[in-house]
Amino acid sequence: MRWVMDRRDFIKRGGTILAGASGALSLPVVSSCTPEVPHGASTLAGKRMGMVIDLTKCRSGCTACMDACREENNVAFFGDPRWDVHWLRKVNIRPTEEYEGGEGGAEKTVLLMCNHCDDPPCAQVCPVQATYKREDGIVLVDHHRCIGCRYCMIACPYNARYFNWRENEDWPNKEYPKRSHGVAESCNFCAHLVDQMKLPACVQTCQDIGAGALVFGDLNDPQSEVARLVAERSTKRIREDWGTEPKVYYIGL
Amino acid sequence: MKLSTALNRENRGVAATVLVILILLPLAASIVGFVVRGGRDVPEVFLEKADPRWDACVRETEYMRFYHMDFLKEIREDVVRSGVKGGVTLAGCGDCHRNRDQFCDRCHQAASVNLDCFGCHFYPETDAERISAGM
Amino acid sequence: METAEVTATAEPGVPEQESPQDVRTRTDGRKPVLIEPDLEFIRVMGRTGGDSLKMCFQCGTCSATCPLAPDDHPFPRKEMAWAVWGMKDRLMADPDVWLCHHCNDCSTNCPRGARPGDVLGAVRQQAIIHYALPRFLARWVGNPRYIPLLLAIPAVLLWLAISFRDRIGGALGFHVPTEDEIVFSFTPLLPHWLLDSFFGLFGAFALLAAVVGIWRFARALKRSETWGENPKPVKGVGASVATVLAKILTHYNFTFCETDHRRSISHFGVFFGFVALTLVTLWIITGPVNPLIRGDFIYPFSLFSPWKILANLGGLAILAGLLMMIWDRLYFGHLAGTSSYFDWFLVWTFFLVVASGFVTEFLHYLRMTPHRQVAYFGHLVLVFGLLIYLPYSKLAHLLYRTTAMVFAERYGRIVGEPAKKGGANR
Repeated sequence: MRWVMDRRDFIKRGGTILAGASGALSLPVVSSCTPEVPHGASTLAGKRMGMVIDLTKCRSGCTACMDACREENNVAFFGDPRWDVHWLRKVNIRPTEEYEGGEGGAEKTVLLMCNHCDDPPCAQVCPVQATYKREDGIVLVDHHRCIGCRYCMIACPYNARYFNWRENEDWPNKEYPKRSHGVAESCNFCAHLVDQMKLPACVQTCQDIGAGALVFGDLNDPQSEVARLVAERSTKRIREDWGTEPKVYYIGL
Repeated sequence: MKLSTALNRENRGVAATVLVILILLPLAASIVGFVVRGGRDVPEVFLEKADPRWDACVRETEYMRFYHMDFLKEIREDVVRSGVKGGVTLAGCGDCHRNRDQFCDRCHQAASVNLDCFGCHFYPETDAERISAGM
Repeated sequence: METAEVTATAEPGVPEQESPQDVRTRTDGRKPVLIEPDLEFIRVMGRTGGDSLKMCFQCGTCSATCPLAPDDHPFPRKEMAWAVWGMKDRLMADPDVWLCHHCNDCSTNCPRGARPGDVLGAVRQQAIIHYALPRFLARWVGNPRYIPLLLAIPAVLLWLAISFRDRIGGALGFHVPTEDEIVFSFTPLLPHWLLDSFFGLFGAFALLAAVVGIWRFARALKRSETWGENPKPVKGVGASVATVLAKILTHYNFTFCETDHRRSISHFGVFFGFVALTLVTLWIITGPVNPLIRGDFIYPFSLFSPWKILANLGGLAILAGLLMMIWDRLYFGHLAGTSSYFDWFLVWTFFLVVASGFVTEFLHYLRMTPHRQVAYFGHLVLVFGLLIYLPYSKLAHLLYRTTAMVFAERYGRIVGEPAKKGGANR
């Protein structure tokens, strides 16, 4: 055999042997080094968190729920409608001549918020899946992932989503993070409180002042108050014909 | 200058000297760094007094130093997206590591690695800030 | 028994004929030489690049054109004569074989295509085998059939070391990390102390082989015919070593090459890259006891650490040099000479060492586990192949050429200098 090899042969032979040998001999050495973080079990499965707003009990001129929400969740407020973020807002509705049906011509004040739809359009359109629906039905924004494209704001038919145009300077609740400039947000049913088995700030405050217009709970639990109210009372959701399946029910809309 | 000119016989001596100096530069840098530091080590995370509720950190120091980014990311995914509660939190670190000055900033300023956690998450820079926030 | 004397003829200019008895009993110091050709040597050389050996008809053009050959006893003509006659002993003890830098001026100008440059390359391979300890390792390195075995040895040894790591560590008194404890990122696989002791142990064997090889070669050189009878050194050992180091650093001898001038550039790159990487490795090994290295090791080092920059630049220099060498050997064979398997073994081992090193580095920065451990394992096997097999592969020229150059310097066998300085004409 000639040992002054044809280069092609040498490269072929040598390369295959080297690759094969190194690969085969190093396989037993595979060991994993990834950090092991304890993954707990999720306790959210099977729930559908919803809210019932009784407009008949909602006091006109009262802003307790909105103030509580701002305090609890560090929602940005500048006093300027261009930059203000609202998780809860009160809107005056006046039926016009074009409007047919409804319950009369009186002006109404409706408390609007994210409806935490079962089929949320905002979550559908988010290009990075920063907006998502949690297992218990709460629609959340992962602000680490949000890129600020504001597609969700276009998609939301209830106009419930707001963008942080400016850095929020106040920080009333230091135990909860605030959002930085450049992300979109909306009401999240105070998910951090819900996880501690507490009520959202607005619901709690409304109860505390004695109005009790906001009721919150698990719609799938037949024993809960919201489920009873939805079953027994005449409730309505905003624009059910849109098919988004919102989970905020109104009494007296 | 072409490579072949730079490495021809007359210039070889210069080329070799330049390369030898370049190769010895990190050694010189280590010596200078040692002298400038006065022999001190990398900045250590400073823990004045541990919280009596916890007998140890969730992981060893070396692990944290290497993996804390991945560790925090995994916890974040669990808590924010999977709703798993009751585990480790960033706020929990604050029970023992009371302020950023002696914890995060200590290494991050020395390493010049920018952090943008604290535009949203509250982590006081000093002990005084923590006390005035009532935490 | 008396042998009849043969009387001289009366013709002038014809030397007196001596009888074999007279030849054997000469008293003036001229020794008769009985040529015992080593036929196996000739055959082996034919297989490893010296196949055109027998074309040589001793015209001497090669010695005349060689830019490195001194005026007295130049090379490579006499080496070609010895090789044709299979005079292995003389060739093994010949410094000129190692003073040759394979620039191929001789092969280009040889009127018969005997390619003395390649022949000398084959002789060098035989010299490495001849002086190796143990010899069979050098034979294996020179034979492509042994590639799987040569790779398997370090792979198996390393795997054993890793498998018994905890027992070895316990016995040696090193701290054995528990499941939860992760100190360095590679520690679960290969703690620093294990890596250092593994390569230290086998490095010691290689070092022993290297020292023995150099000593054997030096001893043979002293007794060789090249220096003539009782040569006197013209320079002290220290001065010779210093001059040779300076010549090596500046690749002085390479600058005389005309045909393969590109080799000096590619070798320059590989050489200095290797020096840089060796320095970084040695520095890191001292880590546990070195106060100049800051605190605990946190891998991977920052890309902007001066040592990391040096290591990366060194690796890139080696890659550039090796790629140039590979290119030249493949496509400029008339300049670079014929490449034997022995040549390719070194080039490719070196290339794979550096390439696998970079792959491991990338995977480590990407934190891709277990890919980075697998890559690191492969890298270590290849490093073993390069460094521990050093005395047995072409890389042994590091040892033998330096020794020959020191001897040449010491005994005034100046190569490459202009005639007025006592060297060959150029």
